[in-house]
Amino acid sequence: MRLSAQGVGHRYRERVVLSGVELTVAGGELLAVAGPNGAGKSTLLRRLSGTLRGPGVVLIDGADLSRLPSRALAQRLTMLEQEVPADLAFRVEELVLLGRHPHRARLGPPSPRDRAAVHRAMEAMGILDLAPRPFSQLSGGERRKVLLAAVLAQEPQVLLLDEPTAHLDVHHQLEIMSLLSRLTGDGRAVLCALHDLNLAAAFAHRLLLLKDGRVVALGPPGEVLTRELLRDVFGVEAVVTRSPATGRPFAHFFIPTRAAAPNPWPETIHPGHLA
Amino acid sequence: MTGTVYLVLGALLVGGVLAGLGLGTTPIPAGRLLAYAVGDRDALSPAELLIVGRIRLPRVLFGLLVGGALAVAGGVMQGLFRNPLASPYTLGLAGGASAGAAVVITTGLAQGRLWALPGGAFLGAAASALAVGALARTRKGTPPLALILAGIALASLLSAVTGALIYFANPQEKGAILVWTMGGLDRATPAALAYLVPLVVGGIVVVLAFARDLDILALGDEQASHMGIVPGRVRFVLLGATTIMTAAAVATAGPIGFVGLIVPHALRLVLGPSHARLLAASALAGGAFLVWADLGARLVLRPVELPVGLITAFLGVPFFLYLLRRGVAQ
Amino acid sequence: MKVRKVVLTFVAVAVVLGAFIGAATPPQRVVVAGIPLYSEILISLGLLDRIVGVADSPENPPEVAGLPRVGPVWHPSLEAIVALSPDLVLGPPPLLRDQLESLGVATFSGGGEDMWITDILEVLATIEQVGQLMGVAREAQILTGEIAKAILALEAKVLGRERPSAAVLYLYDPAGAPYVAGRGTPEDEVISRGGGVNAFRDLDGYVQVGVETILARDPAVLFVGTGQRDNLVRHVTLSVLTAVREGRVFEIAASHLVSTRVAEVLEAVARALHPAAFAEGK
Repeated sequence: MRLSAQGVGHRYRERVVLSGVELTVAGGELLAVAGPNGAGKSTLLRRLSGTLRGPGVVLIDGADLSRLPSRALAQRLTMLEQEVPADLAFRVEELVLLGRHPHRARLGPPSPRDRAAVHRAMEAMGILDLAPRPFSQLSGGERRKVLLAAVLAQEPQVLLLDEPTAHLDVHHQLEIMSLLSRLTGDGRAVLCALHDLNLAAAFAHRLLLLKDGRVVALGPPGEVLTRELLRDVFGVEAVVTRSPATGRPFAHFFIPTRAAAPNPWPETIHPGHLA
Repeated sequence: MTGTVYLVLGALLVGGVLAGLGLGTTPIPAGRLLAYAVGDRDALSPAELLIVGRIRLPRVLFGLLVGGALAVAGGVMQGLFRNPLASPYTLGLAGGASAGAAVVITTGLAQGRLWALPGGAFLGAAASALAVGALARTRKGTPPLALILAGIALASLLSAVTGALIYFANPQEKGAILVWTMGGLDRATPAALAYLVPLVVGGIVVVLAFARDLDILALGDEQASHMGIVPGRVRFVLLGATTIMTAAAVATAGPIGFVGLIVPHALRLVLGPSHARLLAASALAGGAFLVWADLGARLVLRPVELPVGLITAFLGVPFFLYLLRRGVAQ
Repeated sequence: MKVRKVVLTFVAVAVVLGAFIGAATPPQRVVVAGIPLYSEILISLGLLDRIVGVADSPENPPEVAGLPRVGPVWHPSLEAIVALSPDLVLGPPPLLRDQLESLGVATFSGGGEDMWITDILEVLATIEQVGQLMGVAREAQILTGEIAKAILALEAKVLGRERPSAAVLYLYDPAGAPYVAGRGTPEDEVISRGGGVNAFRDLDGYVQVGVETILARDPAVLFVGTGQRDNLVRHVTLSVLTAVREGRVFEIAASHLVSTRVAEVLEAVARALHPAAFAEGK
């Protein structure tokens, strides 16, 4: 199972938001995509999922993604968007069943295989007890888990996720990232866009840094999470150590000082005076 | 719960059909109807057979088809526009059909020609839908909000056109147009049934085949496209199917209101949002609803017949009051 | 002294005579702001040249074709009427009548209290009243006399014969339920006087009944509006009516019901209901 991007880019109204992306992800790998706001993370994911068209070609096991019919593609690859809809009246199990759509005939009841996939997905997400509850009554974290279960029920070989941990508390963040990690153990490829660099470093096999639509670095966290790259891409000063909790690289960020800039509030506040 | 609902709907449907066939100027007990149906050819006299077979049966079938089509179309529109107040006429179909009928009546084309009036109404409805679609199209597709606004604009225009045609018509034509716009099931000719059956049944099948797609669209266009749905295509197919079903129904029955609004909305409160279940139940419930409403239209002021659209409008009032009490803020 | 008395007397007599003559001068400029009946009456009384404007109606007699229009018959225009400086306006609807009277223009509408002419007696009364207003009372009486005579003659012809059931239907296309004329309508009166029985005399006015009801009552003779015979003969369900199958469907000119030509319609109806009575010759 192999997903590769060759010279992939995207324009939005005369502006180049992504260009020249080359990468290959194989089954069993978790790749995290990081970068500043507007660097093109979501755009890259949507190019890889086939939702957006643009220069370059995306291949899944050698087949051109853009030429695959929508249903055939959805049977092998799927993406979970960042926004979680709020006002759905579906019950949880109904919603997870929707993920089976690419595998089902147009008319007819769910097959035993469908039901098994739904059950497996909900079990993996730990939400079996939520099955009969209405989606609109769940908390933010629970909703994201339900949607994740729905795309899991789709049984994709490639799973793309846009900020799967956004707005979640630390417990849920770790829970979801652990789950994604376990998924790669089944031979799936997982790509996710993450804001939290340390979370990415803790779980990903490789890290991809984007800046202004171009790939700046791609490699294991130890190689990518460096002072120089962090300064260059994010404009922040950091010290990178090895985390005693995870054994992975961990960046400690300095609060930026404005010593060189003129103090707009002379005789009142000096940043250096903050204890 | 779902089982109970289907049971109740089935009972209402069968009851409505038997009542529709048995009640009227010559009441015929259900027992004899059923006896005839199972083979006892002596159960009905020739006169009764004439009434049941040539008048009441086409009318009941008509009611089932038109009611079912309008309810399913209404349910689809409510799902596509994510708005519980959407109806089959949101794209201006009622206005187009009325204008088409008014043109046919005032030009005298309807005299002696069975096809003129339904043909004119159908063309009017179809033209209106195409105009709305064309007005709402942008470079990047056809956003639902644009469709709604274009539908409102066109409905206003067509209302003015129909009003003008009514104003300049002679008193008899005025009456004919006004009565037509109130909707009625008394035009159930075998020819009308012949074209209605394939269009409505076909339309409902297509809609049910895309019912799951409609569910998935609720997750947002982007997420839906990851799950194998092409949102633009689904909207096109569903809008096309509902337009054809609604135009076919309205062409002969006139714009009957509230069926497409009340039935799917009420069923959603009971059955939940899954469209496969909702739309299948709407087809049955809409048919039963209209058959019972028509019974009211025929019997309330016997022997004078009211347009069935008046009855459905009256039934709409308590429904909306109920919604008001319950709080529409959902 | 004597001269003054003569002059005063002369002036007094002249004033009284002038008022008398003024009051006695019939209207010279008449506007018909209502149904064509009024135009017909004026034409029959030889007063076509006094009509200065008419309301537009498809049933207007051909003689008024070139005259100025004051709007459609269901919505005449006050301004258009007043612009013609009429001294009498015939048949205006109630609101218009009030407006005209408040402007000092004389009006007249037949039909008694409700100003709605629905039977032959009201037609005859209207003819006489218009005749009086126009100063041709004697000619009007002659006209009403002729019409009454014709009607009575027709009624005599069908007297004592068995009355078949009949109905007047109005339908505008070969599908749907028609309007039937119940009691209180000119159609109902014409059926009765023509020697028939209105199958829908239990209903009031013009109503739309279901086809089932029509089939159940199965009138022996059917009348329809002009040009509507095809709609009935080709009707999906009503074509099975006995009258249709046996060829007893007749078109009548509904516009001649509330009209000076009402005797013509009555004759057509009587002939349809009792062909034997007319076959015997006069």
